[in-house]
Amino acid sequence: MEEIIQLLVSGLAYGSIYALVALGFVLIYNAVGVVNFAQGEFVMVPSYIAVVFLNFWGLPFILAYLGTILVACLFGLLFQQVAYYPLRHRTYLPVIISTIGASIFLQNAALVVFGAEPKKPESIFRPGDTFEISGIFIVPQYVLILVVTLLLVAFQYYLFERTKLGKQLQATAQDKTTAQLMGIQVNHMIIFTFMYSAVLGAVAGILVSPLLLVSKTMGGGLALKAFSATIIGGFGSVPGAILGGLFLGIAEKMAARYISSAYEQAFAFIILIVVLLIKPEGLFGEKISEKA
Amino acid sequence: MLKLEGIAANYGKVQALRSVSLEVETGQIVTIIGANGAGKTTTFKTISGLVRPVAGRLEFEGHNLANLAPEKIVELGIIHVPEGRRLFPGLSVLDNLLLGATSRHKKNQKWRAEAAEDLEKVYKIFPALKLLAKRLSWTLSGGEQQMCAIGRGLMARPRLLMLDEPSLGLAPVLVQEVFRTIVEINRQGMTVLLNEQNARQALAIASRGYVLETGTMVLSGEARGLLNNEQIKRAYLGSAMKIKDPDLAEVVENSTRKIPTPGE
Amino acid sequence: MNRKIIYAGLAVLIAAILLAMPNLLDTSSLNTLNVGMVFALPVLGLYFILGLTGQMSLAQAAFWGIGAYTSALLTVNWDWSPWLGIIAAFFVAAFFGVLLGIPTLRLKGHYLAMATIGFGIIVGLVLLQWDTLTRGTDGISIPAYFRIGDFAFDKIEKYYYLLLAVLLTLAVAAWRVRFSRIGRGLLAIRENEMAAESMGINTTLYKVMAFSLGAGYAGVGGALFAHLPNTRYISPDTFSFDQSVVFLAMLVLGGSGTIFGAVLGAVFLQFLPEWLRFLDKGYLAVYGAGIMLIMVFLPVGVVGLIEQLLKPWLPRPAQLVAPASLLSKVGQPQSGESGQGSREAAAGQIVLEVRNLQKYFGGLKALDGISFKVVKSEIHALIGPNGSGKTTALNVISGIYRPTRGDVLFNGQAVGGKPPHRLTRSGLARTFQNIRLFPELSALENVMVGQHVQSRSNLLGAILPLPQSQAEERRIQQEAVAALEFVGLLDKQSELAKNLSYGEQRRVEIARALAAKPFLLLMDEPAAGMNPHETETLMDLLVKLRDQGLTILLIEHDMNLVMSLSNRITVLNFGKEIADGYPSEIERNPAVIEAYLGAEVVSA
Repeated sequence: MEEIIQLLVSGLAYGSIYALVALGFVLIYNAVGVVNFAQGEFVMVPSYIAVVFLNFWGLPFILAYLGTILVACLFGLLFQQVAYYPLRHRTYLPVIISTIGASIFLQNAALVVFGAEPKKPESIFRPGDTFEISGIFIVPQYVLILVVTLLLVAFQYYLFERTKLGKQLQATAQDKTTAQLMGIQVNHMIIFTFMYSAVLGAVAGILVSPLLLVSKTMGGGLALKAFSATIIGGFGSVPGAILGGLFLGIAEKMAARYISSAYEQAFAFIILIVVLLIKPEGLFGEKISEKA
Repeated sequence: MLKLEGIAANYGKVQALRSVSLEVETGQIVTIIGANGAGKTTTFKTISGLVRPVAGRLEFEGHNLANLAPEKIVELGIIHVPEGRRLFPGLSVLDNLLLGATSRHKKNQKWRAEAAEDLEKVYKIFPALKLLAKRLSWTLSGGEQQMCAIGRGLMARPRLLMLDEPSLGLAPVLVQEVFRTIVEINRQGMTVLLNEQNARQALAIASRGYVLETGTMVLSGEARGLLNNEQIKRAYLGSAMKIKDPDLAEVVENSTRKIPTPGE
Repeated sequence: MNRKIIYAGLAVLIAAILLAMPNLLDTSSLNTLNVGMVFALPVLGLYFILGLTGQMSLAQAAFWGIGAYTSALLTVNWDWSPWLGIIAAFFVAAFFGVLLGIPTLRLKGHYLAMATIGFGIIVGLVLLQWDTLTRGTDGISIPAYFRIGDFAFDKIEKYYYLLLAVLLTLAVAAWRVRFSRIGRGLLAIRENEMAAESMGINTTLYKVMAFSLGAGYAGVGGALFAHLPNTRYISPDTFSFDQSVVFLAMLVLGGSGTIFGAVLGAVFLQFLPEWLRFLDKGYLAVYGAGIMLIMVFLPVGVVGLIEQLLKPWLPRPAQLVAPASLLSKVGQPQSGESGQGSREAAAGQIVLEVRNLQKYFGGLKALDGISFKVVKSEIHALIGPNGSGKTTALNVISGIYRPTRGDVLFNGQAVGGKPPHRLTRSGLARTFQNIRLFPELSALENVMVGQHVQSRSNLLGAILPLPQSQAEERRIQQEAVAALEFVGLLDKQSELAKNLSYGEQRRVEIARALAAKPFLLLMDEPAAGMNPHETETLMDLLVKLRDQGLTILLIEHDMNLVMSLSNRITVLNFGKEIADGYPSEIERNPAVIEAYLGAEVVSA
């Protein structure tokens, strides 16, 4: 029993990270209709920035994290302008290739600047720390991940459902042409989406880097899992991305413990293929009628 | 108010508009009729800035629209209600309506109060929308969607309302309803530019009509005149049905300038 | 004449350069070239999947790895000759292609991409973890060389010629597939899947075929990679997802529509980082930035750029083919593959019968029990207001929708629920309300796709120059030209469909349907968007077709056309049939007038 709870907590923690990255995917996909192959770099770049602020400059946590999020905003803007904007009138393929190019560029730029050795960021909790509640050992970093993710999801819900900006973002995602006809500045909405997606990546990076360490390849694996999560949850759906991420995190930990740890990295994709074959619209996907 | 002169526009490599000229005066209902693919929707898209004209002049109240972004054109007071309603499916009716007021956020601090006011006006025209306000818009029926789309357009407080095929895909009873509403909105002072496949009905409520054929305006005039125009009459079922002498071969022979009835 | 000499000279020059390459390049460049040529094979495979068929695959590196391991294990563990290894690699990879393709190809776009990514990662993990077979992270060293008698391909200079031979052979094969019945079928799927299905193409089968062919090519590339004489070593990390992404980038950068682009893209992208090596540590970053820049500034790909530069020098489009005098046959269906016995139908025979047909979409009753009969060699019109269910009826009859209830009988046989491609085989063809041409194919090729059910060359026939398949290809082309002439578009045959005017596109669509030599032609608003002159031409055409014995069921709003051409009219309203009879009866029917006009007209 204790073991199951521990697995559940670690599964939820990793699942939260997948969910954050998955949200970044879905928001960009909904806004511009293209899967961003550099989504992993939306995690990797801010993670390195955090390392610079914390380890090199020795900033206090609060400042370093806020600074990282600010830089992530700029990064999202820059990425949109360079990798997407010039190709916005073309089909999806050139955009995909462009994001692939951006990903190769960013990974190798990180290699040039920071070297091949993975970096261990300063963190609030030491990764090895645990505390015990009635026989269950809990890693505080996991709790932090869960709390922050919950807050961020709540914030996002407020932003999208309760604000004018949120409605305009949703309108843009649902029908760009009509959004233009309503006078919505579609291009600004797209820029904002990229920036927000980068913030999600930054938060995921800050939360996960004490566990995974910061390296040029840290984002790629996360992004693939997150992409699976979006499809498992129901592609294009925001709640689907969150639930899919959490589900994937838990399933992965359980399967690694009870089936085979050697294939831990494969379970995400086995689950994915099974879901695609049985319920292609995703486990939590809602179908918006074709009537619309 | 609105003036198009010799507008040409391309859709991909195909020339969709060759030469379109038309004029809309304040307070009028003006209708464009023509077949599928004749260029009606492209004309609308050119006016609202979604398609760039390659030749010709495009003016609205003295402003040159030719190179303005769609949102700037909305700010000038032109609202294009697109074909097929195009509501934002995942948003509620209320959100859809409020998004219609987007263009007024920037300039106006009091937009919230004004929007609430306008919302009441829209509910007055379409009482059903008030009851549906919380529903996601994709769950609405075709007629309700069309009301919501027109209402959303009105929320921008436009000076020119462009309606693209508002009766498309609606049951005849609802078509009547839509046309009645258009007349009502016009009576309240709104200028309306109407793309319609239901030409008979459109000409009945319009003051001027333009006939578009393969990207060119081929005929224009007083709506009533067009309604009684033999060439146009023949091209429509309503008239064809009433031809007592069904020597249709001859009719076909003579109808070199006939206007084909648009499709679904 | 002069041009011919120039081309011949150019060909000799290119051949000479290709043959002299090992002497022209230093060792490291030649090595890069070899690897580039190896990579060109999985990229060519991707050309079948993405370039021709329009399906996304990010599993090419996995198939490539399957090929490499197949050949390596067979030669190392069982002492097979590498020649057999390469053949086995093709078939094993192609088999896995089928295995992945059958369940996943009904997925589209990003779903398919993700399923293929998942497959690729699982294959990579199996290669890594199943170490009793694959030796895990240690990888496999392969001692065997390719040999012909005593001659061993043991140096990269020699291996270059082997690669050149294999690559040229497979590129030519790919080229032959592209310009065959099969290739047109694949392109049709890319361009418009529903129309492809309606032309009688078994789209599922064709997609699986493209997938397995692409996997097979990757497998051959894998085998050649395993036996590269200077390394002869493989390990699982080579066959990663990242490599699949690189293959995709190679295809798109080269110019994804062309075979030459696939090969050039692979070689170019292999050389690009080598050229950037002088940048030291940062060369891969610059390479990534370069990919982005190429996408932005070179939308047509490397091949597109070369084409534009060479345009003045390229041969003009081939002489237009003269039409065969087959006009009289249009509309008189020959027996196709189905061997329908009842085609010699007598006048007055019922070709199509619809019995109490119902089609519900959720709660919406699009068709609520309609029945009518279409008589041979007649024009039968289906009319009614918008939303009355006309197009739904046509879609059910042509197999796009399954009926909720009721029967569709075609020549007396129940066909309700059969897939469209089967119906086309038994003699039914159609046009669409919103024209569904294959926009990136020429008018001629569009019509040639229409001949799909009238021809039978298979993949082997496409690749090998068999006299039989070549004769068939000639026949397809001549008849397509004839069909284009029939609709008056002979001079537009090499124009891309998307560049034709609305009316011309309609006529190409009709020609394409006629090319299938149908027994019954379904037309959804053929006159929509035509100007009066075009409509008249269309009417003449329809009469001509009927006179030749073709049966036509059409939906149309142009009442002049309907009333003057139809032998019989069925009127629908709200999914129900409200009238059925001769035109003279219909135009006096009060229910019909009511349905069309509504009760009153609102006036200002």
